[in-house]
Amino acid sequence: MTPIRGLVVGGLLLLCANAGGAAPAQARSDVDSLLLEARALIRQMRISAAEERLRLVWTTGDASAEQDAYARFLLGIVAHERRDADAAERSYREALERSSSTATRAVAQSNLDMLATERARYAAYAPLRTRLDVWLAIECAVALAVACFVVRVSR
Amino acid sequence: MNRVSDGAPPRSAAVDLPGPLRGAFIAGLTGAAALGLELTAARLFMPWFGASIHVWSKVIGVALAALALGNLAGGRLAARWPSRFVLGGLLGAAAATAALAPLLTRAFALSTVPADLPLEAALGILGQASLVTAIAALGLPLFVLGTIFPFVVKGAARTWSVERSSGVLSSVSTFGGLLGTFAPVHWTIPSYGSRATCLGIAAVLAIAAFVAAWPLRARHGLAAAAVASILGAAIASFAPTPWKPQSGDGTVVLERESAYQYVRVERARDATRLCLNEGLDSYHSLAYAGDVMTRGAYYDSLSLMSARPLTASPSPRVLVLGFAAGTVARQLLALFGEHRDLRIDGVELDPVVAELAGPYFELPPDPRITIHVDVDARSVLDRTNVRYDVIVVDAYAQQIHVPFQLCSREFFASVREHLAPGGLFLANVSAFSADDGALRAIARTACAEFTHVGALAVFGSRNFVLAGSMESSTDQWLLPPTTLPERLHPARSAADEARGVFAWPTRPDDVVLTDDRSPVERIMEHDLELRARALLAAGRGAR
Repeated sequence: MTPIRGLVVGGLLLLCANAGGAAPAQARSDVDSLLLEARALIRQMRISAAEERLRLVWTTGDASAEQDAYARFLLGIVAHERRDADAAERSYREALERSSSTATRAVAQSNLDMLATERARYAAYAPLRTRLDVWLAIECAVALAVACFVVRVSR
Repeated sequence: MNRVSDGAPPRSAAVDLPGPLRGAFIAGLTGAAALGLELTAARLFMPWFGASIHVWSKVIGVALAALALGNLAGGRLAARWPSRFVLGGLLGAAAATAALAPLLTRAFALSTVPADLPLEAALGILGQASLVTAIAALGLPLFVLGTIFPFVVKGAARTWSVERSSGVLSSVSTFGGLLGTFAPVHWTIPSYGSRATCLGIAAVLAIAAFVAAWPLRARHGLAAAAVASILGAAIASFAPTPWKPQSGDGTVVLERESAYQYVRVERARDATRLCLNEGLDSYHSLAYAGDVMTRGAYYDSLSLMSARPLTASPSPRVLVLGFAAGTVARQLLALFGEHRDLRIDGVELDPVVAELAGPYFELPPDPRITIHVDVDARSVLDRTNVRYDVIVVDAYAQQIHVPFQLCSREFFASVREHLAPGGLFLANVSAFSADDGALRAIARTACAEFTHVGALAVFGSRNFVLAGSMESSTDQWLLPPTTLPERLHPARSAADEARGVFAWPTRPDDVVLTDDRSPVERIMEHDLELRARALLAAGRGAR
């Protein structure tokens, strides 16, 4: 009954879909198929399975520079979906620095921008916990003061 | 010379307190008020913090702590000032603070849970926010109510023995608590609302204050009555509309308190949404003016998945568990009911929610639809002999939980038994990814009863449509676009974007949920708590 409307997933997946064209044509087929598989798994929201495929890209050691960059971009999405903003930012930046493909660079930059927007949005909520801690401290202090007052006046 | 204390009060005062009968009357009213306030507070909290067991624990915990401290303080005050005027003043203070409880709840909730806070992030703070609000709104009235009992015992003990006084008054207070438990739940809250109930409790305490302070000089009594009336009227007249402000550009077109929950209908442009309790950015029914489709929401995916079994039969039957305001039924009738004798049975626990289908969600009464209300979905399924071509589970508790009785192995067995040959079971499950523990547990449990289990990630949302079948395999569940109603083509394209339905991979470490042991709520809350913390932590890294 309850959809929790996410902030990022639609955009991420669209960007991921657009990045399909960014897969390097000259890449070796096994790495290519791993990347395509990882991308499909991300679209199915099977994040752990996608990450496993991406780890295999580096395990094989056959990835070209462009494939490596695209794998890092996909790994950024995996981290982004897990709400690990720092890891996502790191991966997107690595993809941006290492890729020579215009398409991959464009989507990595776009996702970085999206991440910054999200961080700014949640920055507004970050003080909530502090505010709650302060309120709790004030309430405890008031309760203590009332208790002391009652004890004192009724002595 | 050393001072020697024998434990007696150092100074004694003349006792001027009500006798046993009036004391019993006051004890009964305060017992009723304390329990009534506690239960009503839980309802006051629903629009802001939901009705989870965590919120209840905060309300009950704060109430018990406040009453215990009040008892301690009352003992000292009654020893020092055993006066009917002090007792009356305390009851008057309890009345005033009880009347203010709804306003304090609203003020603290608005301050601690912003209306535009996404549910995904809110779960990290709702617990503490409800605690802070409970202390602010409930702490004072219940503390003051806790001070009353020692006074009435002391007053009664002038006539009766201490043993008899404390025994009788405790008993009367507890019976009063019974009244305070049942009257708000079954009468005042459904009939008049939780704010009016708080004012009623305040009025009861004000009466108790007059009884305690009696006899009063006429002018004192009149003055006190005037002050109480003016205060009550002032508090009652302060009722902002809507009580819970809308975030964003929409407007609140309906707010109601049903016997089960806080219900609210919002409109933003041509979209109408049904929100329950804390809601935040989630919804339970959705309708676009003049359009049965929901522009990519999970309802479209449910209809897409229903297409195969519904088009295979000339007179298909559908069961919707969690009917809400009828979005699924409206869509299925429009898409598949024109050339077939389609019949839909719906089950909705809350009759107030089901009543909204016609006036707000464009689903007028239809002879093809039968809605069962005020009954749990599981019990309807277990008692019916009908076999359905599609059984849809779209039921939620506390926004995020699939109720445990609707995702246990026994439930899935019952669903399987009620599916017609070729039938399909569909469930809307909230999850951030296929890795989420709750989705995995529910899917794993479905795998224990169905031959084929698959899932479709609803593109651009936090929903999965989980499906189960005994005959057809997952690759057959989506009909090709050529055989689909045209209005389902966008949903089919979205499904293609999400790479269609995938067969659910079972893992040995996933738990199977049963009626006896179903930790689905704990699993889901654990996942969401981690995400909420991560989200707020991500905000701290903003540059």
